[in-house]
Amino acid sequence: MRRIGMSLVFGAVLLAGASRASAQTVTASGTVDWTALTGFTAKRAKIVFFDLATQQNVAATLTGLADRTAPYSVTLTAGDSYFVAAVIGNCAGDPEACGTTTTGGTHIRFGGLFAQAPADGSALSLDVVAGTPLNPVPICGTVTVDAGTFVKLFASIDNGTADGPFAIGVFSTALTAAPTATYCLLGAQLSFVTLNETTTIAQSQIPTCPAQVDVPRSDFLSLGTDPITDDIHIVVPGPPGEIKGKFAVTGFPSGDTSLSGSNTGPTIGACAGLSSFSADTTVPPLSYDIAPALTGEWTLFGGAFSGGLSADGMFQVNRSTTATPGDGIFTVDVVAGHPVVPALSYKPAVLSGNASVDGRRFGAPSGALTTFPSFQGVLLATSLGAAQWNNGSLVVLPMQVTERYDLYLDARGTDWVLSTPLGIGFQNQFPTTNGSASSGYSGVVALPDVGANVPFYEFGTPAVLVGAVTAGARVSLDLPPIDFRAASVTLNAVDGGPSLSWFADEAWYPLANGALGTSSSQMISFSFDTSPTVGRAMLPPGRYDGSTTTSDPDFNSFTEARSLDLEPDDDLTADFGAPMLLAVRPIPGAAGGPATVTGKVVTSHPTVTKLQVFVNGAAASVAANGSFSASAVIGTGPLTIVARDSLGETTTLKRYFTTMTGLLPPCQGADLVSQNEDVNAITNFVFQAPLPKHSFTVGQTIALKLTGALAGVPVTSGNAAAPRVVALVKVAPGMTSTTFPRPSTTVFAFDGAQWSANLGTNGLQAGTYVAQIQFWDGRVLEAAFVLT
Amino acid sequence: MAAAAGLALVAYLAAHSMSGRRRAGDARTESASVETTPPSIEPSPPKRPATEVPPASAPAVADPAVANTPDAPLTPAGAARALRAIGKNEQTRLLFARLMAGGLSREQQQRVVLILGAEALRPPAESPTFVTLQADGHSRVLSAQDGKRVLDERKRAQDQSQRALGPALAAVLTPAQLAAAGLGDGAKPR
Repeated sequence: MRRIGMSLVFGAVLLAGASRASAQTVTASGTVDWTALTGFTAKRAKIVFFDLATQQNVAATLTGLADRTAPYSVTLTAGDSYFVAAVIGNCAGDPEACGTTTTGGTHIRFGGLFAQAPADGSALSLDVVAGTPLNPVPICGTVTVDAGTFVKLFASIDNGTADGPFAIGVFSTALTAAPTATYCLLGAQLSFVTLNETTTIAQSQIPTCPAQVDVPRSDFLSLGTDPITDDIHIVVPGPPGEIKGKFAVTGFPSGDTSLSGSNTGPTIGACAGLSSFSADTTVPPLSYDIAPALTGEWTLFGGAFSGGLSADGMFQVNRSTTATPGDGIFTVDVVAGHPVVPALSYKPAVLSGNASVDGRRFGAPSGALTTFPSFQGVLLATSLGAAQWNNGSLVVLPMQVTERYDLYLDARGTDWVLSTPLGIGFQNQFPTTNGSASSGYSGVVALPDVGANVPFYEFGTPAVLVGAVTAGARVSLDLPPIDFRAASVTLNAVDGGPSLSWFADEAWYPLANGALGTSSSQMISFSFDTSPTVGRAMLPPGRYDGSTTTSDPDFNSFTEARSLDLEPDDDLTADFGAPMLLAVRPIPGAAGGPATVTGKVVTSHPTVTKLQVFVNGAAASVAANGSFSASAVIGTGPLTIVARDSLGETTTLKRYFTTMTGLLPPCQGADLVSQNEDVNAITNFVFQAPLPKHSFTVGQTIALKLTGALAGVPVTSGNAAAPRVVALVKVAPGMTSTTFPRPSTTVFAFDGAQWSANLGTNGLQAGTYVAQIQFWDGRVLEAAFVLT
Repeated sequence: MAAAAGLALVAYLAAHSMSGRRRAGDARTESASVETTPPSIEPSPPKRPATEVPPASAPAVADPAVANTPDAPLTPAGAARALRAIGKNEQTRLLFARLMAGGLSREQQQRVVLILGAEALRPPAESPTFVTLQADGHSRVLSAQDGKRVLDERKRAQDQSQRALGPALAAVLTPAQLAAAGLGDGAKPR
């Protein structure tokens, strides 16, 4: 018998091609090992091979469980693929039935191996081992009943995974009946679970309720490594009370005014009084009368909702507001015999301002902008989102969009936070020979400083503290535009490695009065043959503290910390394990001329013994703490900084300092955008591409005019090479684009004020074209126009 | 005969790869060879230090009865390890099972194993609130508000993780296969 892991064989067969040989059988054997599950004593155990082709189980009962290991042997169908898991239970009978609605206890599924029985029928060995994360922790408690009698309890753990052939996890139930009034369940350590309970009680206090009644309840549990106590206390409530009144939000746009409320306190069901309520009206004020209302604390959400088109007709915009006294939760105490009239009505303050997106230099996203940033008023103490402004686009959006948001805030709430639950995000896809290369980012927003308050992340969401507001006041808070020039990042996998991925969360980039935040970003690349894997990304500027993972063909994986400190237009390339270049100065916008280039070079590679930095080819001085410094001249070409470690791994940063403006009349409106951004926009409906106000006719010579600047100083023929049109791309929505290389003579000339080139259109067909222009520093921008 | 040729090719590819530029794993053993300059570096923030996944328990030798294909992205041992990673990660395990149930060609299987194996190396998409709550390692009962937030954030994180895989899976699978696996528009670029 070959002693070889079955999953290995499955991998081998995947590479060779599957073939079923149903007539042959395979004997699979090995050991099931759950010695890591010290918190569990198994009474029954089995191993299950789930046949992916027939959807049938092949199972074997395990014996000799005392030392938490057991041998097994099963007969499989040669060539079939299986999902392999072991199941151990702590009650008698089928372990899979243990910890279900009918049999209290716990079963744990572990293993989770995809395996394939070899087609040649040879025997195999496969060990199934449980890991520590499934070592369960006890969840126990008592059951008590006030003004009634406990009868029985059914409790179960919902770990978020439905029990089934592919499930791995801890599945636990408890069935308890009086006189026992305690329960115990098990849950996987370091997991989030929901404890669902149905307690049956006998009572005579509430005549409107049955003498025996089921009381459902759910609790959310965050399980660590220690046991947890969650006592169940059922209270048969007293006689019900009443909540009534009128509610209106003064000054809110017309729509729905609504009230919902709930009492999460003790109840035995609706027969004892209402525990929840909702009502709405389009004609405020809303009159309401909640009776019979369960006594105790009610949480009331009184608010208003309004939906409609944005002023420009491009978005469906929804607004909502909620009554929020103090820390944000409106509560009233209801007692029998005394109707409660809550003071819900309010006149909100309006926090509003302009928010804009300018996507012209976002770097050719492959997917459309379907949502504009959405905004939320959140109360700092409770994180309650109590005012919303959100949207959905109705059209393909232009690259430049400005909308006016407004949030209606209850002035009784304290410490309002402007939060952005939804920023903008894009994916970029890059051409590969035989593989896939893509990147993406999400949650991009620009927030202002508000006084001394600077933007921060609240549970992964960019936010800024606004503070208190006054009823009826209008507070203006314009947001910095989301207008960045994407940086280009290239990361090389280990040699021969077929995969590379990089991820980072919560990046910030400082703005003049605020910050640009990017909640998450990633790049993922694969090579499906032996060609090198290269990860590429277009990212907003910012400081990203992420990590790269790459694997070799044997799927040995390697992970490194990889921080990126990106300025607009930066072009960074790094080998896996290469040094990181951080805080490099100067940044775009700096004046041309002699400058001191500084920064920090760091490595996460433990065996690197020396780091070197070269600035425009000249060695920089590197201090012991990684700080480096060198003299260089900032000009119209890129500043090139190379960091190299003692292992030869290299990081190269190119930083660009000039800006380009255009196109100018007669092509005004045809804005220079990132390379391929117009092409993608028009072809894939990503954006409406910016076009000249007027089309041109076939055969007409088009004057392309533009300017360049280095910190406000014009770029001229005296300090830079001339731009040139390097390609014309014919584009149409939903159609494959056609590229026409331009002759080298399509070169711009500087006339003392601007750069000009004459673009001939003889021989072209009518349609939309994109002119791709390469500049003095190697960068390519493009502009679109229409020929008729 | 064919199987032997396939195995030989695997061995050749491995040797060829090793003879070129240094591989990451090798760098760790070669680094002390030439430089004598004292360290002049500052460690990066220790968010996630360079790590190497321990070799899988399966032997890194192919079954001699099984042929390899020249352009396979992973060796047989690599594919086996990727499958182990897929099986240990709930999101990739369930996705792989759905994709396999829909029927994949040999080439598609090879590539899906690579893609999902790489995805499985990432920490599972998780709720930031839950991560914060777990920081001290203690068990606790959560408020209904926190519990619902964890569920919402986890769903959002998982959706985002699945969307990030979209371009790679769309490069391998047909729209019908993606739809059958429940990916549908989620696999399209956004």
